[in-house]
Amino acid sequence: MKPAHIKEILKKIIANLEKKNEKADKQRTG
Amino acid sequence: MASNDLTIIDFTIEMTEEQMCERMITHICEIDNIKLRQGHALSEYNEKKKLFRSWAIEKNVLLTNKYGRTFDDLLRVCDLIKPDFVIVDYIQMVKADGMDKKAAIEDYLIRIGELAKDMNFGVINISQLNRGSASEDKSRPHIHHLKWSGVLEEFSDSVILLSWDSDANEYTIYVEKQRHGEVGKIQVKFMPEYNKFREFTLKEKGEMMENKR
Repeated sequence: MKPAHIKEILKKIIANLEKKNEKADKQRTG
Repeated sequence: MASNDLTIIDFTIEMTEEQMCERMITHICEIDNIKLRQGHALSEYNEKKKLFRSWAIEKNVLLTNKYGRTFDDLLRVCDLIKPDFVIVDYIQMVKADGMDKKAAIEDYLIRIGELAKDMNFGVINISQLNRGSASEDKSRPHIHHLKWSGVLEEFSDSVILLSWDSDANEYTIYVEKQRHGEVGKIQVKFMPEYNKFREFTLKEKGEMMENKR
């Protein structure tokens, strides 16, 4: 076990952004 | 910060790895950090992602909130990874196992100094200032305002202090100690939306000169 490379953390952030964006889109379109 | 073949470990003890990575995205891609946190920056990120992905993937930047929470663990990770650079954010957050905190920091500074010399890596230890410093002298921080200042000052090659003028959104960076060079100060503009410092433009410099007259 060792500290995570930034690209691994980036994957999590982008997945989270996509989720939030999808939710916002749904709210916009009702 | 680094060329591609360097390994940097950022012990981000105060923030999560994701929060630190988000700060790096806003800094490098110049994406507003509030928009990013609220999840409204996906299209902007997609436009600029090449920039960040090339930076993130090509550079060997390791972020950790899980390791380095004690001084012993922090040193163990450095010994294991053999980095070129280490950032400890921030030193007062690191726990000391069964030792007085001040003595533990002194012990850590000696040990990481020895390790850094043996393995040829650089270390940035980020430190708090004593809370009293703001009320005592509002104009600027001084080296004695560093929490446990004597120890930190003694074992550091350089000491850099930041002073924030929140009204003007400007920082003054003071080089208070510099074992191998000059001391001095420089003023920079702060862009809070991108977590970024920048130099003053020629126009801003001109306005500052005008205001001083």
